[in-house]
Amino acid sequence: MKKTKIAIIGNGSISHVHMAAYRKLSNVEVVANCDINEERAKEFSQKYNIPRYYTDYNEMLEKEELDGVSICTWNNVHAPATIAALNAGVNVLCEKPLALNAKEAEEMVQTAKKNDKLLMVGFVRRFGLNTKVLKDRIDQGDLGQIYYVKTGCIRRVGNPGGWFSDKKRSGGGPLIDLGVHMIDLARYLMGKPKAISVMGSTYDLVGARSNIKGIQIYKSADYSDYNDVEDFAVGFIKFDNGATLVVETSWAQHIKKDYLYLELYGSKAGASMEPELEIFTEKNDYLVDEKPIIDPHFFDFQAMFDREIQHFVDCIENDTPCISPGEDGLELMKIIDAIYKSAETGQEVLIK
Amino acid sequence: MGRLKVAIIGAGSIAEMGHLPYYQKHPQVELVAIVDKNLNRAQYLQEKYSIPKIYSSFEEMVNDIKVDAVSICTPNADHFPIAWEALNRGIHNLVEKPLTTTYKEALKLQKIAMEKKCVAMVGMTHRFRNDVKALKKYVETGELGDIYYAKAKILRRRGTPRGWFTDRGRSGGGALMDIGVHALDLAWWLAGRPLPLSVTGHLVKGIGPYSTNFTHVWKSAIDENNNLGKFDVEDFATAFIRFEKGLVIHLEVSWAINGPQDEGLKVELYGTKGGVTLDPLAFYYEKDNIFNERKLVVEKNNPFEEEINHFVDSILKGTVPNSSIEEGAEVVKMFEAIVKSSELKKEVML
Repeated sequence: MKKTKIAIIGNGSISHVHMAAYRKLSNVEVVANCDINEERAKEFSQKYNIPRYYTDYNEMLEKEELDGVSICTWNNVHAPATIAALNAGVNVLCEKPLALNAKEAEEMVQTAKKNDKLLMVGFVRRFGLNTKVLKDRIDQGDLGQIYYVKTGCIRRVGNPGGWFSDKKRSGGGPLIDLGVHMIDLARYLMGKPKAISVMGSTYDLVGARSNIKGIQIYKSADYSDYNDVEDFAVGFIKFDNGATLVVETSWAQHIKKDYLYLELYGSKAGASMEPELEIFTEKNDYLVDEKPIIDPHFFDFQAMFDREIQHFVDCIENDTPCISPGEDGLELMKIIDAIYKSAETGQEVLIK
Repeated sequence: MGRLKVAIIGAGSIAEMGHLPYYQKHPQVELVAIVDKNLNRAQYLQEKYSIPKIYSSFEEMVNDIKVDAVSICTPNADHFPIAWEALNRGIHNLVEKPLTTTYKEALKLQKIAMEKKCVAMVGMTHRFRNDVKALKKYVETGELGDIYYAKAKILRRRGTPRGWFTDRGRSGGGALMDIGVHALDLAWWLAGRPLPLSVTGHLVKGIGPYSTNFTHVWKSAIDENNNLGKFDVEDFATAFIRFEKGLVIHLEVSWAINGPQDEGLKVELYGTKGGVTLDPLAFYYEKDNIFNERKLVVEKNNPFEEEINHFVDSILKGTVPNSSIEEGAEVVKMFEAIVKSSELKKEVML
């Protein structure tokens, strides 16, 4: 039976999660991997018994016959690598954010169309089980009309350093890294309305806090404390369906404890997704707090990626409509661009 | 029509806690008298609540003034004789639980109440709790499906009340009669008052009188017998009751037990389509292949106040009250069977 041939471009932290997912699929063969760091590329291929490894993705695309690639590189390589792969006739699953900005993202989407190939963006949270349960209920009308969403991911000391805090490679700080997940999830749950107006602010007054001792901090694989990105961003987004989204995100802030929240408020019910899915409404004229029961065993981080990768492969093999198409990644870049622009100009930004 | 003339029979703790203040508050009620064998006690409440008259017997009162309704708050054994006299004179009755100590007496009360067309109600206060009412909705809407098992439980670990409660001649029974009635009535009423078929019971005086330190205790207002006096009743009771339509209710109550303490009544109902628990207040069901726990957000109300208001309301409107005398009698019937089964050490058919 013909196997789906996959390659992984960029062999840093997240690529291992992609690899673990591909390995579980019997109809898939990971035939090549690529990283500019030869040592890393070699180690990766040895660890997973991948036949061939490269340091130049163009060379790989020329030499290998591929059905799909996972792009797990720094953000600034997402666009060139994706465009190269699509032009080589290969379907692409590109990690988030889709690109550094909307201009690059637009080019990627057009290239996919031109080559009639799939461009999927790695909004893995769409594949969470609680996301599915909540989306089903929203689609059934349980929340009514969703008019306000608030979401935030705030870290007291959480700047990963390395390429993450180097703007020419990352495109920005926590907004483009974490904010992108949260804004997308809110949009996706609401039924993908279009953003029309954005106000945003960013600040870099706290810094990377790499001096802090005595606590565990997640650090980028190639750590350096160079930091020229924002440490805090907040945005106020209005959509064409009348809804409003408020998003705040920070890698370094003088707060007591890290927190993560996503709350949606509708005409008939409200929902909170963190730490667990809970829905607040009324039944028989009494207030109720409802909790769908999903065994914690199913909340595996890896399991979400497993489903995302499985879906990517399914789309390649069976032409299944994609749950997370590149267009959604482009829409997100427009919003991120607008928040950064509004932060810069101090003015509201309208999105066409 | 003028205000309803109400008298309290039995000037004890429950009269003050659960009846007097709420009659006093009610705009259409006039508290006209307190009756108690112990006139000192009656006088204490008379002064506290500004009630016009006190008497040392029911007879004395009805020969002197007109009364429309009474709350009977005496020790259990006195419920029947006073309730019968009152109903016979066409006086509406709110009788504290248990209705009577024997089923035979309960049936007599039921008969006379019907003949005289009186409002006759048993003080099952828990039925008037906000959280209980919220749960009842789920049964009424059929969301539980067929209810096949219910639990009613309250295990106090050192909570034996002092006074007439432990004297069978005055109480008619121990923990079963005193708190078991609340637990069983609640589960039975929530489940839709099904017909009982058979009963297995086990009553035990497991701990008996104790002198444990640092524990709170309910004391009878009657001073005599408040030390470790007569104790010839059970302090633990459990029963397994089979009902029509395949329901079983399991009852467990204790005044004293060597174990953890239940702070309140615990009631659970399990059906084919859903289940409910009182503590925590929740509804459990499956929908679209997902199991859900639905917590109900309900604030505590004052069930005594609602119970009194409901009694008065039933009289004014001429309606059958929640917790009617028929229901009270049915519960007494189940209790007699539980006691009999415990004595015989066998299942008893109803």
